[in-house]
Amino acid sequence: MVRAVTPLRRPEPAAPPIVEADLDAAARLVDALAAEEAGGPSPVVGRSDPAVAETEAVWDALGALEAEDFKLAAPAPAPLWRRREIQIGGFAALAACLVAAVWLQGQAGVQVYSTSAGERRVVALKDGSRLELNTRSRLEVRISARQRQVRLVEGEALFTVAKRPDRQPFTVDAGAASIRVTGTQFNVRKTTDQTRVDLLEGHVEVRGRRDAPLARLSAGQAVRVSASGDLTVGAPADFARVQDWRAGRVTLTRARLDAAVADINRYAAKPIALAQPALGDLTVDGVFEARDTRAFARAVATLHGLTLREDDHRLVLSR
Amino acid sequence: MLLHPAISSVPNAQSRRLGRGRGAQRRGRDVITGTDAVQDLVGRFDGRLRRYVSRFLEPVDIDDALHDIYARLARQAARIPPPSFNSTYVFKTADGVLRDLHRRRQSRDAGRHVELTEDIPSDTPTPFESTRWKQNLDILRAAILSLPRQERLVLMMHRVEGRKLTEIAESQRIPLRTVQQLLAQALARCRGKLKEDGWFEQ
Repeated sequence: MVRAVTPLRRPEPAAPPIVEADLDAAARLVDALAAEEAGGPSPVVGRSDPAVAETEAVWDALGALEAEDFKLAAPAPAPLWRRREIQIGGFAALAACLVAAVWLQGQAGVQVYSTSAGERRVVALKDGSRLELNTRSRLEVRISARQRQVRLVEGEALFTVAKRPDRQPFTVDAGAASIRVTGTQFNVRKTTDQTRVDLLEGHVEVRGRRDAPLARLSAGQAVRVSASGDLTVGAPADFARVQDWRAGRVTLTRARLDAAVADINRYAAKPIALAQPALGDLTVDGVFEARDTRAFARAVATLHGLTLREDDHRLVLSR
Repeated sequence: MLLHPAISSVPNAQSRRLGRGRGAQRRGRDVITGTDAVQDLVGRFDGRLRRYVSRFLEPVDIDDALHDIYARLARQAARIPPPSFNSTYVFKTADGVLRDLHRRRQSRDAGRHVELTEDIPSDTPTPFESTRWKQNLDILRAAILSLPRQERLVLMMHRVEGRKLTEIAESQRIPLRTVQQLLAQALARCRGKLKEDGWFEQ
């Protein structure tokens, strides 16, 4: 099958061919002009060579023309990459991309990690740090070349922060507390009324209010930051409790029942309720599987001779 | 000192022009005879200028045009510092004179025309009616319109705008070597086309 292919754009009409001898004479004339422009001696070209003299006559005669005669109304299409507007456009586009990239890192670079009741989760961050989320926790993580920032919105997490060669700080915001570290391991637990920081390794700086002095903790220390930003330093870090939650355990040592129930309920899909507030005065000892709410409730019922009732939403302990 | 027939003797065409005062004539002539630079220019360019002017003007106007060209060049030579009289410069002056003269000759009020003494070449297009002028221009136009665009552009910038080859290279962002090549190709092509159109048989 034969196909006729017609070009989309009509090509320029063929230019008259160049006679080799004509081009040679013209090149000699142009060389002479260039030499003259460069300040060299003005050569009297073509006097002896009729070909150059004839080219020269053409050059001379062309001076009678006006610029309009050359039909160059539209600017000559320079090669694409050489056009000023293309270059400017290119740079503008590049700049826009950079701005967008920076903005995206700042905005869309937020990673959110959360856990539901009874769930634990380990997250490896791209800077090499490791996060362990306890039950019902929510973290917002921003890691970029310029910052490492985590916000503990709710719950509890253990941070194992990787050291960076440039000692870029790692900050954790949790309620009123702002924690700044370079590389260490610490646990942060946020409850409605306070934030507790337990430092297991290294050093951290904790700030309560924006204008308050920093508290520098060393390994084994803990600090409590109230919702209003007051710091209480000094309590020893509770290693055991951190190890417990990481293992999914709750260890109770002569704990009041109301506190124990609150602790267990953090992990519970179906929480335990005490029918009479007085029951809160009872104490509980033992190690419990954090997520096994029903087992805890049965144990407490057996221990204190309580009745356990279960409805659609909760487990109720009553006398 | 005899420089040029147009200068040493008053040609007929000039005597016909009433607009030009005696003072202006004397001033022009004094400057011309006193300048070595102009003498040098006459030596270098007279043949070419004469051939160029004769291409477009009636024979009776040729000497007049040459006189005007030299007078204008002499005024420019008196400047401090004097311009470098390369062929582009000399011929740009000639182009301007040619146009002015032609325009004046075309003007119905030629007798009352007041000469413009500025040295700037006029750039306003004018409707020429002289057949000689018109025919030759038509042949030239046909020749340059047959050139590729890039060659036409370089030729226009060099010959009509009077820009240096190095300036063209800079403004078009192409190597000087390429500018020279484009110009040479343009001239060679033009010459071929003009030859075809009987330009050189006149």
